Amino acid sequence: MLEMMTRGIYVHIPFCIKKCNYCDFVSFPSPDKETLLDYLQCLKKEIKLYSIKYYNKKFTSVYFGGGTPTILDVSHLKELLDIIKSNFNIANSSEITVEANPGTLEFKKVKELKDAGFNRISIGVQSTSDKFLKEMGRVHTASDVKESLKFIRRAGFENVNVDLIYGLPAQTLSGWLHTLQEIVAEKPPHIAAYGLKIEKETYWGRLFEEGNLLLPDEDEVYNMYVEAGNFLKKNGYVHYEISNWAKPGYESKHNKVYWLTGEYLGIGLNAASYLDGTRFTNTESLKKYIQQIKMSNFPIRESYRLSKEEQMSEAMIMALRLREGVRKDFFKKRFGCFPEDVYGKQIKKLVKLGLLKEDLHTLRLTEKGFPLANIAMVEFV
Amino acid sequence: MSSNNEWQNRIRNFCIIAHIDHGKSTLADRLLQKTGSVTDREMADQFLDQMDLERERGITIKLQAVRMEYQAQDGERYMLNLIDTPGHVDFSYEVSRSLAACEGALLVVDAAQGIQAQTLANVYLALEHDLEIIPVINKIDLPSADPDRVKREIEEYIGLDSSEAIYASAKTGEGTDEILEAIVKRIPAPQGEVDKPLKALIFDSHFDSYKGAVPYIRIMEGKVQKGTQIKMMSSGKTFEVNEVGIFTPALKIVDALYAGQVGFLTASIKNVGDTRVGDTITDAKNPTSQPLPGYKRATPMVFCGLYPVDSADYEDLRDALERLKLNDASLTYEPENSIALGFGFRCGFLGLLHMEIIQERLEREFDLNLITTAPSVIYQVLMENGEVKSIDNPAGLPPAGEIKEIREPVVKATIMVPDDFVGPTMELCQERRGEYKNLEYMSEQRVVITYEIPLSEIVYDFFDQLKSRTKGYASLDYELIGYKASDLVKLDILVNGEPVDALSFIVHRDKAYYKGQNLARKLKELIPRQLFEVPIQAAIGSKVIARTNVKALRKSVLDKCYGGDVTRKKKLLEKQKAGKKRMKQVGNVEIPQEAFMAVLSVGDDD
Ligand SMILES: Nc1nc2c(ncn2[C@@H]2O[C@H](COP(=O)(O)OP(=O)(O)O)[C@@H](O)[C@H]2O)c(=O)[nH]1
Ligand code: SF4
Ligand SMILES: [Mg+2]
Repeated sequence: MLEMMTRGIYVHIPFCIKKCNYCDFVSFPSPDKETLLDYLQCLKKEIKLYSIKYYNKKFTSVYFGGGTPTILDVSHLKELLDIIKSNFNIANSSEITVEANPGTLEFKKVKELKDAGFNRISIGVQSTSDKFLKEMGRVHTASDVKESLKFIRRAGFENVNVDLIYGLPAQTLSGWLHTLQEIVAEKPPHIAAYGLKIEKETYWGRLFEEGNLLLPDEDEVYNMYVEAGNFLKKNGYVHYEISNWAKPGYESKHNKVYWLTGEYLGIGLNAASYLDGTRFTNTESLKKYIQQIKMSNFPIRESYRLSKEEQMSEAMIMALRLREGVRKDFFKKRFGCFPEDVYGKQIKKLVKLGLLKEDLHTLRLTEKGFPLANIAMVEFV
Repeated sequence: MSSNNEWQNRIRNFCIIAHIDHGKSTLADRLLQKTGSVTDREMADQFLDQMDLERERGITIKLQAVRMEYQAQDGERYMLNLIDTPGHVDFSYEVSRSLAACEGALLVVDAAQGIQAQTLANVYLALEHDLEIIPVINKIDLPSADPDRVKREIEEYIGLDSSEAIYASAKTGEGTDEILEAIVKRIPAPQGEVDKPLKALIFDSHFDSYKGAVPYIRIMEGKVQKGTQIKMMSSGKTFEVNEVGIFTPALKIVDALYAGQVGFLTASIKNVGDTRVGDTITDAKNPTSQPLPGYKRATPMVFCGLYPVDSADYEDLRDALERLKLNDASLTYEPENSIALGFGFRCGFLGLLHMEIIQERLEREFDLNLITTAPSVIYQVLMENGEVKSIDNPAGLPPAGEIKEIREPVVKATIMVPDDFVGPTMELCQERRGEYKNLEYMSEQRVVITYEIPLSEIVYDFFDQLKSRTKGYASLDYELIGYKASDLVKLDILVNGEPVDALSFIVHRDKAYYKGQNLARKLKELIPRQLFEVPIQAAIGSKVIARTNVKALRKSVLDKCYGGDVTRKKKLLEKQKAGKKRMKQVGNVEIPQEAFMAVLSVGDDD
């Protein structure tokens, strides 16, 4: 029953040292001091605006994401975390994550983060090859990666995630497996590996459209995914979500809130929230965000109340991302009916196609179904 | 009343003929404005093009007619009836019928472009009907206008006296007065005796849900009024007239229509099929002995299968076709059955444009999601046993062993191009199995090329190819001239080992190999990866001539999905679902709509 009660807070820090070539996140490169401080003030105010509404909800995770949260001084991050703690009901056992990029870290800073109350750190490593890192426009080098993974551990962070990207231009399967080897050697208990997706409004997006970006073909990318899974499994990682692997006990509590369609409150630019059956998303415009907050308005750009059908559909789609899949008893408890009562036909079809596995208690994607998740999920839309 | 009354002398019936885009509709607007027939406020641009589609495409599809009153310089007030004509070769029969309702025509020619293929086609039609032709050289406001050159072309190539050609700009209004005066002075008043038995020409009709089919008529002789028992001379059907009226341009009831006049009548006619363009209406009690010449049923030249993507929409599709047919007697449809596509209709059209228009209206006005199979012409198949079959669907071609000979429709194509493009134009015609007939200089730099080409070659992307190879300078007109035996074969497409009947097509043997390969390659691009590998083959009979594979889908997943991604994820899946809806499940394979038209774009050179 524990999962049913998890609830998260997300804080978005939309700044980076420089924009990576593939990135279309809402994040601005090299912000000036004044903008940073202005934004911080607004975050604090937004937290207070929401605390009045949601003080009686209990939260079990806090996640500082970006952008690059560690572009801020730790004192600022601490200040934010403290305000969150004093304005919301945050469970003592909460998972408190900060995202960081190797180029923005040093031992002292990591130590301070630990002392500030963060108990999980997620590192945007992406690759261990200087060639790829440079092409991607990352600010760090391969040796930064290794070094930072070492001192993160030394600073007392046990719960560490490493983000990786595969399917890079001209990347080979063996090159990718080599990267994994180097990372696994550092023993982070959690690894997230994403296939590169080319987004239109990015530098690589433009190169791609001009035909100047040579990407591995679909079959090669598929092999990278499957082989990564095999390799990580051999090394004791459990493939618990489509793109996430963890040593037992190190699954991300915060991210599971999303996959189990639990509640979350998003603070900051473009942050999304899902509370009391309504999804709402903040503005993407920094200027508007600051303006609205200064007038004590919620800086929301869209808000949408989900019908029961939509909630059920999302519950299916999101939970199927997890290895544990859809738990029928949870579903029944939440919606008053079993998934097979609503989606009987679809389930049968997908089982027949070999994408879905059904047993007494759960519905799960098969090994074949994981990389073809969209084909399965579209049945529940 | 006796013949050639005073009032008859003050009627002018005319139409405007022009190549597409030379300014027919714009000029009509100017005339309407100048004569005060519509106020500036009522004047939506291009008044006569009333269907949304016409405005969007800038093509007149459905005819319109309008009456204008004009105070001429001679002090008299004249009644001018303008009968609009469609500007596309698909509808040339309709053009000829509206010309038959007139005594004169404005020949509008673009001052920059000069004479084009349909200018010529239309002029010949007008001359056949003995019309007085007033050349109007339009768009003289354009910087590239060369009216003197165009004037010479008209004189030298068409052989019309162009000394009195009017230089005009429908855009600025320049020349409009001169045109109105010329209509009055140069176009003869209608003849025709009011006392003779009724003889009226149907040049168009529309369907009104209260009044039924409403024929638009030109009274050649006699008169018609409320209560007249009329007879359609092609079918012998009779009706009693409820009302008669004129176009002001809004329909306006009058007491009677007399010889020389243009108007409409209503007679509780249930079916537009009973008001066929070109037919003659007479008085059932006092009939004329001789119908007007030239009536023929509009016969479809191009056929395709129309199928609902969702088979549950079959009845809706039938209803929609029925509704469109009410207003369009030249559209034909018959239930048809495809193994791949299920139940649908084989529809006949006057030409490709007509086909596109109907498809678009079905999707837009009736919200239907359709699969269209590639268009086909009608083949005549001479069987070994001497029987001749008409085949409008390639899937229906009898087995090769039973066929003695296949004949295909051939058109005479007239193409006008600047002489720089003679090479590429002839090359294209040659590729399309054309038989060279003639090449003639129209003026110093422009030539008219005539070829006989199988209609099927025209249907498959000919015009687009012609345009692209001549940088848009060529114009095309064609007319059916007959049937010719050809070495044709049926090419079948097998998807995942199963023949897909809706993808079969008929092709000349010399091109079969190459078309089969290209089509297989094209289908490979169009058919999305499925959960398993899908072989695609092209075959003639049992002989496979091309094969390729759609690889199996391996990875289709949104790798990242956290709080802020949920909306995006949902949109993506919704899009994927919508895409699925536009696919047809054929056996185990999902085939997108476009695939069924793919053969159209399989050119001769890719
Ligand atoms: N510059 C200029 N453009 C014109 C003139 N007459 C028509 N056009 C334009 O030419 C295009 C085609 O005109 P339209 O009347 O629709 O031609 P239609 O296809 O013959 O009916 C439109 O964009 C008109 O605005 C003219 O006298 N001068
Ligand atoms: S560090 Fe992350 S958020 Fe910042 S630009 Fe690079 S990819 Fe984007
Ligand atoms: Mg027009």
